Amino acid sequence: MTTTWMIVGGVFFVLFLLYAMYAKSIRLRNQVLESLAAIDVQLRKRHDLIPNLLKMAQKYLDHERALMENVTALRTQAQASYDRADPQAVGQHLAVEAQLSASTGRLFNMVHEAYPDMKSAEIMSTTQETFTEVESHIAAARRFYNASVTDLNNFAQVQPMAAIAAMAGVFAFPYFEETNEAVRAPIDVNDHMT
Amino acid sequence: MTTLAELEASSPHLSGISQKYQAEVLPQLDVHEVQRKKGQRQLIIAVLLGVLSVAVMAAGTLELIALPPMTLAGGGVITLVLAVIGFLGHHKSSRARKAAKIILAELVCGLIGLNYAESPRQTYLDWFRALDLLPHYDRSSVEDEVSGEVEGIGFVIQEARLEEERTRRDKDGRIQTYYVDVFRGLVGMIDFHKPFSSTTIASADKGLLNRIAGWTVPGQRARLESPEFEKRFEVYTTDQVEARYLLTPAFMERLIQLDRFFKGNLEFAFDNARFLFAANHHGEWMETRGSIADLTHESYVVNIIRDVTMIHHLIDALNLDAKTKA
Repeated sequence: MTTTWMIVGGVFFVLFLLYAMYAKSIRLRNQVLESLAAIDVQLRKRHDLIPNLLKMAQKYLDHERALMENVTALRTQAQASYDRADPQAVGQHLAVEAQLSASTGRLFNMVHEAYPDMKSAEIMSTTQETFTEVESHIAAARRFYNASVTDLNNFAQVQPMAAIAAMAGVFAFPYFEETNEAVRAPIDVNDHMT
Repeated sequence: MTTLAELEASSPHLSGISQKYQAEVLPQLDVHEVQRKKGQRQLIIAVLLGVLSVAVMAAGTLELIALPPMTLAGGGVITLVLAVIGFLGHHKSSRARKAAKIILAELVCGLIGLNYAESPRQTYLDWFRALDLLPHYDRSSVEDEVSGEVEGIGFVIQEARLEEERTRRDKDGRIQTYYVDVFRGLVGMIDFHKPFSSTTIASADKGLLNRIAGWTVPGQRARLESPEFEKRFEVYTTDQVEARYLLTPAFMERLIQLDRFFKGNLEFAFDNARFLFAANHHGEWMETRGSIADLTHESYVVNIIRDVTMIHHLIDALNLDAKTKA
């Protein structure tokens, strides 16, 4: 009799553990989706800034038409809808956003460097301030997303949780890496001493 | 020890303080020092005579010496009178110390362009309590408010004393109520240069009790990248993205340094466009060090300058974000 109860208790315990793992995998995935939505909100702000930047660049950097066309194409691509629940589609979307970030940064720097007198122009300083503000929010959203992805991946890539997560349709998600060359480049103090 | 002249030379804000101190403040402090010494002398004499009186009565009660009748009753009255004299002496001494503190704090704050109020008209403790930045308390008082603007950043800082009610039974079974200090330190509100609409609270990491402590705090737990920051603080926020927008890696580093300055007693929050902090440093802000310290001694004004300029450094450090965009 005691043995039967022990077996029944054991089965219930295992079932409870399996359910707990399933529930946790869903919760972690939802957290990633929430952080991904937060990133998209911030990225949309960057997208909205691009037309202004292009207008300025057109005025002064006509010879950089290829770069401008590239930015426009990447923006259109980045604004296309994608399946947030699909890690591969998310990875591609984030890769496009990363390229757009790098190209936008390059274009911004070109306008800045080619026409130093523009630095003092009101439109330039307003755009620059807005750009910096938007980038700060994107950086914050990226940190939230990457923290959520770490939690999910730590769970979904280790057995036996990985098997349960796979059965629940939960898989590891890609990180959103910083690709902005300006951020990655070593700091030159002279740039900040003018 | 740093001298007043050295401090004056180190900061343009303090220009002319030595001369003003010597010419205007020192004569006033002399008057209060005389009062403090009188009060202190009165207290010491009352205590000594009181001890003597109690000793004589004890010897008489134990029949070690023969005392005339009614001496015990008379001794009791004398002890009571001595206690009143001692209390008045202590009060006189405290009043002199308080007056000196006000003179010096107003001098230093006035030179730096800040406002000082010994008894603040308004307290913000309910706000801090709602954000769970303070321990539970039943009685509170605030003093030594310093307010104003540093580099365009507005702030208010007060020293708070919070006490919790406790009870105990005496030997006759009656319940006695008494109060114990649960917080004696600074509470401050500083305008924050970044716009935000959420609430983010960083309280001390309580280890295994974090989950229980988290029930009373609004929002969700935010896990941040800095291991040192995570070891020291437990962050809760109503907006995960905004919490990271406010707590950049550079800003977290500065908060860790600030926490070290307050000997690991810092708790803070971002709420309603302000950065709020509470630092339990167990008293000693803008006070003479010990009850017998000479009010005219230069170390007193030097300490007050250090306490006031600490606020200056604090805001400067927090405002650094606005300059570096970090």
